Amino acid sequence: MNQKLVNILLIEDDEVDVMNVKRAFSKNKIMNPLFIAGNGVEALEMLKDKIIPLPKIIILDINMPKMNGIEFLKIVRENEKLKNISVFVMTTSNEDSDKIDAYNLNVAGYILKPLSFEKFVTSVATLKNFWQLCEM
Amino acid sequence: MLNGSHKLTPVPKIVLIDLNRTKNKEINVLNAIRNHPDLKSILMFVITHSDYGKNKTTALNLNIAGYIPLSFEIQQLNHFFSVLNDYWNIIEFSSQK
Repeated sequence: MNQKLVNILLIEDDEVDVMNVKRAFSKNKIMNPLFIAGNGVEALEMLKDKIIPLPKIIILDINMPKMNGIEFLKIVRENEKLKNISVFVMTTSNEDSDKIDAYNLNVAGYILKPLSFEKFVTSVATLKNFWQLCEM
Repeated sequence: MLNGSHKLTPVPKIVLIDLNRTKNKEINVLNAIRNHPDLKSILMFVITHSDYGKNKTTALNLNIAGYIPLSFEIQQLNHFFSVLNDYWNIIEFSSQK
């Protein structure tokens, strides 16, 4: 992944969480271009209107205003141009129904946001190592 | 094992598939899993030992969790399983059997 630096889209409504992802990326020296959308509606506009280059990876929150993560994911999986994007859910929702819905829509992983920033940095480090194993 | 008379219960949450041995057989397995109502949510990791570009696109279109090139050198294997194990430890699965 490092050679190509694939684009990553973060869909997250909470500004503190956006900052945390940016800080965790920086701590882990993840240099990939990171684009931010505040909810599913905004993300779909960015993707469909090609406002941003097509990302290979989406990091998706579940509970968001306007369009939640699961609703967004359903639309992505039905769209020929978007359906093959790797989606990693990153959420505080520990609801079994959200996990079932997400895996039925074939996410690559469902990650609960850890409560401490240090643990979050460790989770992001694990994600980075996994992304580096994979061809995108 | 996934669908026959001696099938695994509960259904596995993770499947590792080696795409190297034959070119199309494993792709057909990926396809069958994704289109099966009881198996479609399985997290699938594809291991490959050489470059089958077409298979990569097909596998990614089936929303596999990772397409991972791998050699059988011991150091690389250790690294591979260590990273994969770490990854499996940070992700959550449903409690559904």
